[in-house]
Amino acid sequence: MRTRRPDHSRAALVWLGAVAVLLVSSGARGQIVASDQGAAVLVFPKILVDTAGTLTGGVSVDTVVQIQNTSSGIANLLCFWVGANSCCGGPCGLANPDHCDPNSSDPDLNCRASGQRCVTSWTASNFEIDASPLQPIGFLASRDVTELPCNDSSSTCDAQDGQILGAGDPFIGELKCIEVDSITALVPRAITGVNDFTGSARIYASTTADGGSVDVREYSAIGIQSVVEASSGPIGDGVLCLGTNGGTCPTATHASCPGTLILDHFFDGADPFNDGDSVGTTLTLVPCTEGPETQIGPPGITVAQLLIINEFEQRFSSNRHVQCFETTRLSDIDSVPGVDPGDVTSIFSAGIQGTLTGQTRIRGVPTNEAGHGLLGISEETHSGSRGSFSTAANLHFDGSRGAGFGDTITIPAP
Amino acid sequence: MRTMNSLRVGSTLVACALALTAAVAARADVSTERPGSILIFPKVIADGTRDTIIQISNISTMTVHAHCFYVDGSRDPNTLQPRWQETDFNIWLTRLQPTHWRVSAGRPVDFTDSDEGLDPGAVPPATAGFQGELLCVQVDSGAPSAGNSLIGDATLKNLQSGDVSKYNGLAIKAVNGSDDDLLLLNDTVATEGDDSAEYNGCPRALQFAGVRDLDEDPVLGAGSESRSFMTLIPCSADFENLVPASVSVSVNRIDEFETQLSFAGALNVTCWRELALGGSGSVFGSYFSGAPTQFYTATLTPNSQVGLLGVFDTVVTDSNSNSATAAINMSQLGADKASNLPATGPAGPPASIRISGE
Repeated sequence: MRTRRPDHSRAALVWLGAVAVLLVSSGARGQIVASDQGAAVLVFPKILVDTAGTLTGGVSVDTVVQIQNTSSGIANLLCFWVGANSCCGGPCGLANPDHCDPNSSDPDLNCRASGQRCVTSWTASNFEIDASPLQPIGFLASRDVTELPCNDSSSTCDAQDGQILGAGDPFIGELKCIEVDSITALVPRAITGVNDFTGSARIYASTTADGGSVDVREYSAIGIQSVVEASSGPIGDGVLCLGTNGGTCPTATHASCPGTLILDHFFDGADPFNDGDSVGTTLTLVPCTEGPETQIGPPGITVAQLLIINEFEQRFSSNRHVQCFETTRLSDIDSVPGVDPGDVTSIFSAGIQGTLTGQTRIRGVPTNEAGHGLLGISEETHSGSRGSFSTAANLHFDGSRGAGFGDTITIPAP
Repeated sequence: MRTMNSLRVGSTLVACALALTAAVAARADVSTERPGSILIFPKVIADGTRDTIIQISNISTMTVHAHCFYVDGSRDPNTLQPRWQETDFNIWLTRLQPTHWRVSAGRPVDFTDSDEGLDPGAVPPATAGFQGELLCVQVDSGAPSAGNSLIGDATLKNLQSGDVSKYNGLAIKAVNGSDDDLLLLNDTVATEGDDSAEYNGCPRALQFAGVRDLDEDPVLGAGSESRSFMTLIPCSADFENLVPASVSVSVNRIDEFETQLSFAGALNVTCWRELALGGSGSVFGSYFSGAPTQFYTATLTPNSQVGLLGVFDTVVTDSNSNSATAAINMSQLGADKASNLPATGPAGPPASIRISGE
């Protein structure tokens, strides 16, 4: 008896159509997330301010932010400081100014001395500025700038509106800036079709006592490009669609976040220059999905899944919760926070890995669910008898979040 | 018949999927974050005062080979001209393997040495006094490969003070790759769909943001100083014939008051050049002093299709003479391939890299 082969042509055509839709809707128009090109959204994953050195043993910390308008026209920005300060016993505030460091092993800094928990809370505050053609703007995160360079009517440059609200002191968190149509409107609207801004952040740590010390590290802001096409324009509902999802974002207004972040790093405790200095790496991750000033309740949690490969091609894995903002020494991911004996048994320890460098691949999971994209930077500290010096670097990217599994940034709508 | 239909549909399906995938993948840029088939470290120093550690990772699940070239751009003490001395070697990385080496020491294939892990091949130490670049081309059986599997980082250390800085290697994506030793960075001039695009074009211009040079640092205050350096290389290179590329660069600098200073053809970069922005002979020096604001942006535009790549460093010094360095990759103007060289640049053949044969 002959059996009839099933006809798969119709199913195949349906599959083809689905593939086409997926590919086209997954950011195929060419917009990307990148730190080296102009974009409509700038993400500075780590901003630090602690000018009094409250949490850093007297080392004064501040961040210089620089933003450039790369276009030949006036462009406007709505920026949000997303704070992740921690305080003993509860959220920080006027009634509770006792700041703490959840990553510290010092009982005075992690609240254990007072028998309390070090509680992180999330805050958002915003400011709006416009930038004249090609104008650079630089400011310290610790300070308000009430008079922008071209605010003054007597200045020779184009009139400039807006002012910069400082992040607060102390402050730990991120800065997100979104290109908007106008800052003179009551509620500005995010716009697509333009990718005008680049930026960078330089973190300082300095002391003046005992001959003093200075350390500085710098990274580029991560840019999320907007879709540029005929229908580009203001976004009325305040929802920026970083790729598509099954709900509020049937079409993308901005590029999808990276599918995988890659950290090319020294394992903690390595001495790569063979000079007695020990290296430690701090990883900072922030979610792509955020609703500064619109979000009700605590931010959602994304699990950062980490796949670590050493120079023997041996693989290890770990994971970490990311809620709003996460900064941690690599060795603290799988050991007690702070410098402690447990660090040498971490899978991020050079002693455990047996090689000096590794590639850590970081994915926000679930990958088949919208709203779990991640961005971040790394900082590397070389410590030894000559003091501590640090560097910062942008993470590498591989791929993009798949179609239907994009992210959203939600800002107040008009 | 139905089987034939299914095959035909299947073939069409695959072809369409590939075409769509190609359309998506056609976006190719010089990137500081995304992997590529040509990986460039513009600033590599091993001169006794500073040393550099190179980290390269294979991000693919296949073994990857790369042909790497050190280019010594230090000046010959007798002629004061860049030496343009090329030294090449091969590395191979297993799936997802990271590797590293210290430039002054190299990395011999020695399972008993202190560099644990799979040695990537015999990496020679750089010559004494090395100041230059490292360029690696992904290859397959000696021929260029379009695998786009390489990422990297470079960490520079001042051996006296312990000060460190780090930047990402610049990756040039292959579109179709090259079938010979001449790698054309020509995606902007290649005709869509004719497979002639080999690698992406270099950016139309580079941009960096700085703090006024030789002036008080905005954070460190009275008695402090901020100094800036840029390291530039031409995109084009000819390793086979040892011909250093040269490119004239126009500089446009604008401050927060929109004050612009433009210098057409102000710089000439042959082979490799590190410049102190405030140093004597620099176009930045005298013009930056007395500027009304501390923050500026500078744009570097190459005046030929040779193209330009680079990194930017800032050294801050406090009132007690403690200093620290931060390195950062320059931004690229040209957010899509239409803005890359040579589409909007002056006429001429596209930038290219000629690698020497095995």
